[in-house]
Amino acid sequence: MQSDWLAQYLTQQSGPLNQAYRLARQGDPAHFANAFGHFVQQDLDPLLAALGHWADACKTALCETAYQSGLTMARHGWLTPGHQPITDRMFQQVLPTWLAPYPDAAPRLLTQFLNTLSHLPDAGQQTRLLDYWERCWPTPDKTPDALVIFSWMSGLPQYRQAAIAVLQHHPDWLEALGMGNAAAFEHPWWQGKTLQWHRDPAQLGASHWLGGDFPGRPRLLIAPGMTLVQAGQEYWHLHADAFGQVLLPTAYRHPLLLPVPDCKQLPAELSPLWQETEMPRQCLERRHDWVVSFHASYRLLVIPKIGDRS
Amino acid sequence: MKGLNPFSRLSASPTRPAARKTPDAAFDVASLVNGPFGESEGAEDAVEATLDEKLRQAYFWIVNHAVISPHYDVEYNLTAPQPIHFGDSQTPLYLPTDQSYSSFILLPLLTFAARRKCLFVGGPGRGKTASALLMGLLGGYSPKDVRRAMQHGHPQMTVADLLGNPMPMDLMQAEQESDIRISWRRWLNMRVKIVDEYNRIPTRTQSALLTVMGDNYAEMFNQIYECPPAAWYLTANDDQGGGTYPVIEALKDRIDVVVQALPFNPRFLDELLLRIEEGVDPADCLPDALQFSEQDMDQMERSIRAVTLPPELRQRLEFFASQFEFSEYSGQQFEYKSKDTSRLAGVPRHQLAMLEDGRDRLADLGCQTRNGLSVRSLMSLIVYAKAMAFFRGNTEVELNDLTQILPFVLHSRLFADADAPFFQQPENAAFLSDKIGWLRHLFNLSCAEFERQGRHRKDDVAELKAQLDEGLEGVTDKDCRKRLEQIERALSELSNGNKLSGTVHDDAMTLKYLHQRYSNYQRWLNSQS
Repeated sequence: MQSDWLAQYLTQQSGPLNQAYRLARQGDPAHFANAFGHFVQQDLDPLLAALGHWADACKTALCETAYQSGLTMARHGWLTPGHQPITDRMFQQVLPTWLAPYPDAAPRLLTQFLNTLSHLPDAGQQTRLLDYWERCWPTPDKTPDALVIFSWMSGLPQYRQAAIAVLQHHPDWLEALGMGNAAAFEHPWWQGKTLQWHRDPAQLGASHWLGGDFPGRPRLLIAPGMTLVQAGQEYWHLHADAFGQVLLPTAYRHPLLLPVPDCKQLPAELSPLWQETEMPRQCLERRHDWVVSFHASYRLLVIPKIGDRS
Repeated sequence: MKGLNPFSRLSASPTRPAARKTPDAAFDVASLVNGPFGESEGAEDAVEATLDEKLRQAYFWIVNHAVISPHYDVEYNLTAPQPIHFGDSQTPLYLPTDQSYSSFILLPLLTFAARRKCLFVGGPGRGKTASALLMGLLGGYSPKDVRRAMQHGHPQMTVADLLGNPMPMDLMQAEQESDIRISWRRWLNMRVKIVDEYNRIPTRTQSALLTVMGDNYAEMFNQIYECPPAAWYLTANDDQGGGTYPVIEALKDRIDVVVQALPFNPRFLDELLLRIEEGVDPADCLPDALQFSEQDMDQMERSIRAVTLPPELRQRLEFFASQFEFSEYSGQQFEYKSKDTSRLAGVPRHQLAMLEDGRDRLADLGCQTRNGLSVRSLMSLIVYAKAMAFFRGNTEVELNDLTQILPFVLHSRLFADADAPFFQQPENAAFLSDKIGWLRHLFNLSCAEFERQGRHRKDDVAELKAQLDEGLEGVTDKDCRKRLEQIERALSELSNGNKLSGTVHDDAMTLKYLHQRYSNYQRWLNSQS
C-alpha cells in the first residue's frame, strides 16, 4: 500500500468496514470482492497517499465517504472492466489534484461530483466531464456552477438554460475551454469557438421493438416554450441541442398543449436534404431546428437549422 | 463510523412522487448533485421529510431491509390491470398499475400512525413478533427496551404479572388501601404496547388487559395508573380460539385490524442466508431518521383525523353497512328485525331462513353473514381509511382506500354464514377460508348494487336528512307540514314494490326518525302560538 495511514485505518476499523462491505455485497461474491479490492488498492490508496499531508480527521472523513462510494460504485457497475479506466483516472488523477487544497470540504465535494457523474449514462460523457474538469479546476464555491455547466456540455441538455445563465459569470472557463463568447450559445446548435456548429441530425425515440422508448406511435405536442412527445399513455419532454439530445419522461401537462398536425408533404427547405426512405408523420418547424416523427419506426429526428438549412 | 451501515441509509428521493403537489415542470438544478452516492452534507439539512413521507420511508425501509414480505396484496391501480390466469381454476394474478403494498407491513404501520390496535395472526415463525418489535423501534425505543417491555402471554400469567405489584412494605404497614403504593410495570407507560400470544393469557388477566386496552388505565388496590395513548400490537397463532384460553369477546372487539402473516417465499432464502452468515439483525439498524417522537405521533394522529371522507364515499359505506344486521323474521316490531335479536334469544339461523320466502337469498348480501356491523367496527374502518389516504399523501379518502382497508378491519367482526346459498356456489367456496378475499368481494358487490340502484345520482333519504341537518331554526309550520308530507311520500314509495331488505329497513327507520323530529318540532311550534 502507498498510504501507511490507509493501511493503519483499514486495520483499526476492519470490523465496521468489513460489515459495511458484507451488507452492501450483491451479485457474484468473487467478482464483487475482486472489483472492490481493485478499488481499494488502485483508487482509494493513491487518493489517500496523495493527500497524506492532511490532518487525520479530514482523511478519516474522506476515507469513510470514499469507501461507501466505492461500494455504491461496485453495485452500479463502475468497477467493471469497461468502466474501470474512468474510475481509475478519477481517483488517481482528478480527485487528488482537485481536492488537495480543500480538506474540510472534500467529502461533500466528492459526493456532489460522483452524484453528478451518475446522471451521465455512458462512459464517453463521463470522460468528457473529467476533461472539462481538468481544464478548469473549479474551487469549492464555484463547484455547483461547474457541475451544471460541464454536465450540460457532457450531454444533459435539460440543464442548458441554467448552465447558460451561470456561464456568463465564468469568463476564465470560457477561455480555458476555447468556447468564445457566451452570448453565442443562445443558438442551441452552437458548440463554441473551437467546434463551431453541430450539423448532424439527431435521432431519438424509436419503437420498443427496436429498443427505443415508445410503446406506440409518437405524437408531437407543443406548448409555449416546450415540445412534448406522447406515445401511449406516456409523455416525454424533448430536450435537444448541440451537446446532447434526450427524451425525459414527464407527468406534467401544460394547459395549452396542442398536437402538431400530420404533415402531407415535407417542407420545401427539407426536401433537398431528405435522404430517408421512410416518410415522416409529423414535421414541426421550430426556431432553430425541425423535429420530424415517423410512422413505421416511431423514430424522432431533430434536424438543426444551420447555414443553408436556416 | 457514521454512514457506513447500508441498513441505515435512506433514499433521498420521494417514496411516492405522484403524491407531491409540485408539478415536475418546476425544474430544480439542485437535483443534479443528488444521486446514488447520497446527500452531500450541505443538502442534508434542507431535506426534512413530512410525516406522511417519513411514514412511507419507514414502510419501504422495513420492506427492503427488515421483513422479507414480497406480497403486494393491497393493490392500487391507475388503469385496469391486466390479469394473467393460472391453473385449472384460472386464478387471475394482477400486476398493479399504481404503487401497491404488503398488508403485513402496511396495516401495522397504519396502526402505529393512528394509534389503534392490531392483531397479527399466523403460524409460528412467520415474523409476527418481529414486525411488532419494529413498530416499537419506530416509536423511538431501543430494541432492548421493546423486547423487555413485550408481554408474553402464558397460562400462569397473573394480573400482577401484567400490571405490577404492590410494595411489600406498604402491604404490611398500610392502614387504608390508598396507602399501598404500586410498582407499575414499565410497559404501561410506553407509546407502543406489544402483547405476544394474547390467547394464552388466563381469562381473569384478559379482563385486566381489557381495561388497559379499552379505557387506557390500569387499576390495582384502588390505585389508578393512566396510560399514554398508544399503538397496540397483539399476536396469536390461531384466531379461531386455538389458544390456551378462549379470548373474551369484548377484548376481541377492541382490536381494530387483523393482519395475517403470509407464508415465506423460499425464493428469498438468500436474504436469510446473508443474515445468518453476517450475523445481522436489521432490527438493530433502524435509522434514527425514521423514529417518531411523541410530538410526531400526536401530529400524525391529528393529520389523519383531518383527512376528509367525501359524502359520496360515506353513502357507499352506509349502503354497505346497512345490508347485514337486518333479519325480517327475527322480530315483530320494525325496530327489532335484527340478527342480534334472534342471537340474544338463541333462535337458530336455519329456522329463520326457512321462513324466508320473498327475497333472493343468493343476491341479498345480508344473507352471507351471521351478524351485522358494530359501531366500533365502522369507526375503525373510517379511521383506517383516513390513515391509508394519509399514508398515500392524500387529503381525501378514495374508494380504493376503503376497498383495500375494509377486509382487514372486518376480518374478525363480520362472520360468514357457511349455510348461505352464496357459499354453496362452487366458484364461491374458497371465500369461506379466504376471509380477506370474501370481504373485498362483498364490498365490491355492494358498490355495484349501489350504482345499479342509482344512489350515487339520487338519494331521497340522504337529501331529506341533509335538510334536517341544516337545523330547525326558522322552519315554519307550513315548511314542517310540507316536509312531513315528503317523508310520508318517500316512505310510501319505499314500501311499494320493494322487498324488505337491510337497506330498505334502514331507510325506513331513518325516515321514521325524521318524521318524529319534524312532528315533535311542529307540536312545539303549535304550543308556542
